[in-house]
Amino acid sequence: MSEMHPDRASYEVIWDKVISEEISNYQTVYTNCIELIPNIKEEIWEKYVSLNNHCKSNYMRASVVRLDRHKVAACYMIAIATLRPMRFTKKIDGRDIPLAINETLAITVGLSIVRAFAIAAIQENGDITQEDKDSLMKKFDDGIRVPDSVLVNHGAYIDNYANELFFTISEGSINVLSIAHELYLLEVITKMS
Amino acid sequence: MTGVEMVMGVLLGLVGLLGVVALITLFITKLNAQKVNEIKNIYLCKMVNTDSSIQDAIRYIKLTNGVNVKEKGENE
Repeated sequence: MSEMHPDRASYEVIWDKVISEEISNYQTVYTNCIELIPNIKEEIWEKYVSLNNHCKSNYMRASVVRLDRHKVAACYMIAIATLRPMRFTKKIDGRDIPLAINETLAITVGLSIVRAFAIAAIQENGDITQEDKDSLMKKFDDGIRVPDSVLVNHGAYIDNYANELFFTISEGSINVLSIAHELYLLEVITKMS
Repeated sequence: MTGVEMVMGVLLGLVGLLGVVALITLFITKLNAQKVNEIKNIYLCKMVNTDSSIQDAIRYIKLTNGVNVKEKGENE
């Protein structure tokens, strides 16, 4: 079956099950403190399509019609982190919130996508037994593993990752290949855990 | 030929020689620069992809690694 890429139908699922739900979670946690940019759903899609096409045109062979999981996830992450769909509208307890919520949202979306692809790849692997498949899939039950506090010598891993996204975007130095590489390593950490 | 004329002649000759050398250098440099610019970076290969289709993967999508609403609620 031939598919159109980028695939809009898949984005609808990602929007409903991941992006929209996580934004609602943030709005629940920070009640009445967050507003969203207008037309956020379409803005993210258009930015993602632009990044996806840029990737295919510049980094992939002409015969490639779709990107691998890590680049797909990286494109979504960069689209969200660049657009910054959520804005804090008020302080909490009179203080600004030191939280990169758009960047952490981007990371959540990226890791959720990588996880889904990883599970699909395990299911499709005809070279391993069902028992091995179940064992591998179990490692992804709680999502992608990130280095815990024992391995991180300053701050929390996700916070540092969010800072990286913020600064690289601000400086105009973010790149799909770098983010994809980081996602690949996190997937490997999860598989090897 | 006087000494002055000889010196003038040598100087003129040197200037002329330098001019010819400069012209030749400029010509060769430009020619080679064009050739360098035409050389394609052939040792970098563009990437291929053998990954699953997103339409297959999307069946397994769920929200993970997100902000923990319950945990945040208990902390506030």
